[in-house]
Amino acid sequence: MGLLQIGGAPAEKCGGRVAGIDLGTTYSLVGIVQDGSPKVLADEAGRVTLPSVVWFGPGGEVEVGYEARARAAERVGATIASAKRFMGRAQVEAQAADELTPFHFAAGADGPVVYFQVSGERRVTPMEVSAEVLKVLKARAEVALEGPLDGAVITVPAYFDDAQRQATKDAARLAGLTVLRLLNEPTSASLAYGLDKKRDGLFAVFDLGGGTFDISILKLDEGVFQVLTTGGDSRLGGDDFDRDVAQHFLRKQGVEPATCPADVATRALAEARRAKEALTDVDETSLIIEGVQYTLTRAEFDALIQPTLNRVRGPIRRVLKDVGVDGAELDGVVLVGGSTRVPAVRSFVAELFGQAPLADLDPDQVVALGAAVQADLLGGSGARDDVLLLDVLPLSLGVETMGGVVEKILHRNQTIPATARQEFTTYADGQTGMDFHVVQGEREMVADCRSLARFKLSGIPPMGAGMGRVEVTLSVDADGILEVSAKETTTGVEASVQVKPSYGLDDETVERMILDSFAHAEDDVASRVLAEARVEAERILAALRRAMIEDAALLEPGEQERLEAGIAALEAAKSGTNHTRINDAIQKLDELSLEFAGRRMNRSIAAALGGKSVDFVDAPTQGNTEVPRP
Amino acid sequence: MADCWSCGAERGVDFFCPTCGKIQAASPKTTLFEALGLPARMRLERGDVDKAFREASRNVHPDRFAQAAPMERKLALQLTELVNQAHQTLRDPRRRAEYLLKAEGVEVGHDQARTRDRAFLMEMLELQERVDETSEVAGLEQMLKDAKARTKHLLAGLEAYLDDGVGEQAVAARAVEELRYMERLAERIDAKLEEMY
Repeated sequence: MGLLQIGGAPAEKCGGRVAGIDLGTTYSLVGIVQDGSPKVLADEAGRVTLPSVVWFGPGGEVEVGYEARARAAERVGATIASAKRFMGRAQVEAQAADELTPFHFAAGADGPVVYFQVSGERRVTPMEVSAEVLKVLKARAEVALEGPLDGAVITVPAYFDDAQRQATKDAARLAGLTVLRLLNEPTSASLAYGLDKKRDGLFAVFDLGGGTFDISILKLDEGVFQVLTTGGDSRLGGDDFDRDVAQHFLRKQGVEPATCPADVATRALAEARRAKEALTDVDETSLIIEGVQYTLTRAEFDALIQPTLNRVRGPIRRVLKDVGVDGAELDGVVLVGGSTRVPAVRSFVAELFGQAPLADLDPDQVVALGAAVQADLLGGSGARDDVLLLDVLPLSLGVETMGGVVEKILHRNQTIPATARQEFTTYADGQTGMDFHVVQGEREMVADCRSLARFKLSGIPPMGAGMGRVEVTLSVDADGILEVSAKETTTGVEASVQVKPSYGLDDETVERMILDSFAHAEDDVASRVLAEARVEAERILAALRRAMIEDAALLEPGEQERLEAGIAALEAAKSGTNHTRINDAIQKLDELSLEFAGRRMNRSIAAALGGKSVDFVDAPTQGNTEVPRP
Repeated sequence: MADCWSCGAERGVDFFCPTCGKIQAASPKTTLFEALGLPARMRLERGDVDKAFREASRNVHPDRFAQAAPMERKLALQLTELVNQAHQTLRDPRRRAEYLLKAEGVEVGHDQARTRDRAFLMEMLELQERVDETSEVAGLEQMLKDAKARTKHLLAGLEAYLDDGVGEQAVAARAVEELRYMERLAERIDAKLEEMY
């Protein structure tokens, strides 16, 4: 296809093709920076949000987003929504936490990972579900950026622990995405917001999404976005409001949440969500639960969700205390997340902070916009002198010591990346091994913290008790992900460490899943081929248009019209989703422009022979004139 | 003095080579105060420490080197970890005092260094028990106030010793230990108040 590139150099590429992805509990978005400003990308129907919903067909086919949501009622258990809630969680945690559940958890899976039973044989992990969502967003970005993505920034709740972050990275790997950075959602939002408003001061970001709640306080100082403290609840969000409403009406019918069948739950939750969204704009709405119609006023709704909403109180009080200010002393409170559209949430925030919150940017989009900016800084047009994000570790990291007490090594709210070491001594004569248990959390006792990993250090030379000294190093990278190492220091003997994660997938499993996914990859390939065809079409169109302007004199009578018709045909094909049609139209336009291209080539050669400079020539043309590549 | 890894010129103590401008490794002797470009003293304003931290981060943060050569990225990460550690240590007066005392050879917090003064230990134990036994908000808030007043007093003593050379090392070392107890006491009271709200 090089023929038409004469005179048309490829688009200038500065840095890589990068995108920012907001992988949300209920909705996901992708943003890119174009012409210096961030924007979110829409699908063909103009919708920027993609429901984080995946439908798994009986034959291994997959639908994502609105299509998946539309098929939710079709086959119970086959549609997975809110998979993010289960990322980095074990099966027991998942089942205990959700009373009213539309999921079919795979039986007998009591390991460190949740499995959903989606069809007779097939069970999937939350990471695989999220990977399907990521693949769609990746394809969307690739179309907009006209080529394969080099990397992406993916946002996570600030309060995500190590296992949840690791799970997000695994999902990205399964989707074939290179992660430039896991960025905390509130930090991302503040980046979009701060750059937009150019204000300095102390800001709180109140982020209530579908499934997670984050509260962060940041100091904005001449382009440095420093997170001072962060808190929240990784299991609190708008989905819980839906559950409150659905449970209320199901109970009226004598259905107890714990024993509610999954199909009933799915329908009731969908109705509850619809009612919740309606009540943002109207004072009263109706909903149908199992064939019975009910009215729900906004006041009733507010009362139903208040106990859930109250759960934001504690984390807010704690972060304000960390910074030592009163809510009213903050320079602003920024609202992020779709659930902050609920009027009761807004008024509650105003009450808790003693000031009206800011919501000038679309709370659904602001996280993706910030992620796009950070992606651009890291892998796109490059670092800017006026912007730097300084994020913190959300939860302390420590090691279990005698008596089940936690020795904290890295502290909460410490700026990352960070490294710290702690020395432990042997407690028995001739001890050659030492067991370590790494935990995350603020409580003093191991039992109250979250287990991250266990490892054994072996090969310690036998010595008297207390003589052997083992130095444990915990490092947290800029993604908030932990790395552990240990060595014996008195003799300098390096001992081996094998870390076994308490939750999540090990590397082998991830590799296997990647291989498996190639077997089911037809859809993925199709979207890729489509993206590539569109990119090619775009390139051809641009080059031809430029040539027609530059060398209008070389056009023969009627040729202009024939080429215009070919261009219009390709434009039409390009806006469709059939890659064969696009390639056919490219082929046709290529043939139509063959003679014109030949004339341009000849003129270039004539110029070259005349000692003048040669136009950019990409490929040899037909006939017997061989032109070397520049 | 070490040479710049990139151009070979003498690089000095700066984080950046004066000749070619490339980022350099920190010397093992670089103090946490030097990492932030702050004077090595006890009397420092929290706002100034934060400001110095942001400035240092602006120069060395790995994000500024995301597309640089691997060597530069590695150095940026190492320097940033140092800068972050410096901020974590120096922003907190108790940790700052410990760091300054450590430079004098006093290791606070080590098993061997812990005080064996029974009267003092008994007093701390009693304070903790009082917290556990108190169940009304007003009483707890008063205890919190007392702990903060005592903290302030101890810090003043440490400033006098570390910055002005007034007082004795042993007293200063004890003061730091007492500060640790005060911190834990305040945390306990906070946790209890939190439950009661």
